Amino acid sequence: MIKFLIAGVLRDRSRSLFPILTVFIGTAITVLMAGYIGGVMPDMIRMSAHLDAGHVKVTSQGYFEDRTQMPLDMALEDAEEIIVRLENQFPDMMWKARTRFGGLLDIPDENGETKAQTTVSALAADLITPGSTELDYLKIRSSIQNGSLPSDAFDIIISQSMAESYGLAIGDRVTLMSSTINGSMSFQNFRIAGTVVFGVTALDKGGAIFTDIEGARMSLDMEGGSTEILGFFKDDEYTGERAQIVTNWINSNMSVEGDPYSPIAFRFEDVNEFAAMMQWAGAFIFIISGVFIAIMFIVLWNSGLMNGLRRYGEVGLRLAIGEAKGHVYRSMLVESTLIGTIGTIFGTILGLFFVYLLQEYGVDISGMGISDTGNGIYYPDVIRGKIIPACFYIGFVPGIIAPFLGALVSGRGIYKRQTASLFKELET
Amino acid sequence: MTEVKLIHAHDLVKAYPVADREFVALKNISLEIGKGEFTGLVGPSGSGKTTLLNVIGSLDIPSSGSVTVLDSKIEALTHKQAAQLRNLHIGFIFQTYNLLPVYTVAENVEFPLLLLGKSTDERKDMVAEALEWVGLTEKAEMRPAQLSGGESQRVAIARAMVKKPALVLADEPTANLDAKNSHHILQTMEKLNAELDTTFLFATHDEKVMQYMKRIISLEDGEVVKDEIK
Repeated sequence: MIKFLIAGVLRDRSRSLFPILTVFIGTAITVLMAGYIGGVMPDMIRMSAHLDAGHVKVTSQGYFEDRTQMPLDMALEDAEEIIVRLENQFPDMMWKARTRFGGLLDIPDENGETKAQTTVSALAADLITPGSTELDYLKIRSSIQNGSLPSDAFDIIISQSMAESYGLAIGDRVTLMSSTINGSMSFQNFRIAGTVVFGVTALDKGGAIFTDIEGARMSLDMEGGSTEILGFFKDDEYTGERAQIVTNWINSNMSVEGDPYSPIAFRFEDVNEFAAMMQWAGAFIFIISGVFIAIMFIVLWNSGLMNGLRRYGEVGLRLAIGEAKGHVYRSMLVESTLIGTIGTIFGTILGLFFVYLLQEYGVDISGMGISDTGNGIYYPDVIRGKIIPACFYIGFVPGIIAPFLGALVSGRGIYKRQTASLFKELET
Repeated sequence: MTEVKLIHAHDLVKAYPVADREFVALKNISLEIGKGEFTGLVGPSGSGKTTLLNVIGSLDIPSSGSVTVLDSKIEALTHKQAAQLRNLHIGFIFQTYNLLPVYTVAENVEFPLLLLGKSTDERKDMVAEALEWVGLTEKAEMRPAQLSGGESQRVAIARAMVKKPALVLADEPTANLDAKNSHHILQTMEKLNAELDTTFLFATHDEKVMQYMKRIISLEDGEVVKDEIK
């Protein structure tokens, strides 16, 4: 019987083509969305963790409360000691001290007189220790456009756009005016070692500069301290569960309630708005599936109703020659499942093809301003999809359910059909 | 008339509500039809021929009275039992053939056998035999759209006969055919009636069909007005 139904479905284009096309398109889009999320989310998490939040972030309680103001006076003064303790406690993680501070960059002319001044947001990290991962995590190594990587504690890296805006060249010296951890003024000369283009609008267009942590410590009078310590799993794979174990330990064993200088730890997703975003991303694929189930269901329901009218004679004949109503109804459901399966297979193939293209070539969204979130969430300017396991099966959810539901509802008419008038109906 | 009674109707009444009134389509019909009969229900339009076929074919139930077909009381059957009776024992031939257009001639004939759960080999043999009865072996792989009206009706006959039912109900089977094809169809059915001892019951007002009938039951306004055996 199944073979018989398959033959009917394949031969009768008006019965199969439109529903298959509907499923095909819906499934392809669902798979594409799954691949998009599968590619963008890990990129976003990795990039945001490397640049800003870490997998685990440790700050002082006071610094975290006023973190938008980057209060240097609330920095962790014994950051290096904390790092040693954490490295012993969590050998599968590496811990990096970073300091964020603001300042005014004074740019001199050829006579040493001030040519221009601009506010900058500085990030100090371990950029010169051989083997440090920070050059890679901060994407400096791969983003260098001109010059070289820092080799001295008082070398800085600036964005290419800043260099162009102020006519700065490699080797030029600039003065960073800031305040020390104690609140006094700080003036420090830095040499421009290199310029970078990150491909992240938030970094490229902003006044961000990168300097070595030791240089910053000397400049800001914070020997051994830092505003934050970032923990990264060595395999670079973030999960909330793993991070929770670490933060629980830190908050239980190192944090002192009510002491604004004692450390407090947060998971990646607890920093900024990551948790909501990650939950949204996790739900997104189900929302997309649900939306396509609903759309396809309505389309296929109507298609089923029209088919029911067109196949009125066929159904009547089948009832007349002794096929039970339940059997006719079930055969319609089997047909719809067949149609769903065919459409889903081809839709999944097309969707995978699009995801592959998105994975290989990406889409440059730098002009859309999307990457400039300003809240610590970083998207790469070129978004890329990824063929994840879900891409192979997620399409089957809307692809099978929608036609089945469509047939389930539209086929109910079979039960309302009166056999008493079949002779008359079949002779018109 | 043969000894074994296939159909037995007693005081059969079929009434339909029409607006506020009741239209009585069949009035106290009592008749018996035996195995192997070749019988015509004749009469003008509205005389109740098709309604009687409906009830005998278990597509409808009597309003009162009783109809027994192959030992099954029609009025007592559930929908499922009625479908099973039709599936196992009754073949239908319609005025408009009602072939499934996406299937080949052979597949159309095969369809009732699928419902009976016959094996592939059995189906193949039975379809070949049925197509041979109606002389369409050569056209087994054609689609209905490629057939003439006469050929289509012969496919419909093969479909009705393939499961070798005890009873075939045919409602105006020649209404859409020319004289030559009508005679051909009737000769085919006459031959099957003789060879397989299948009971044929026709509803018709076509004189050409009546010539072939061995018994003619005349209906008028829902009543049997004449029952003659030729």
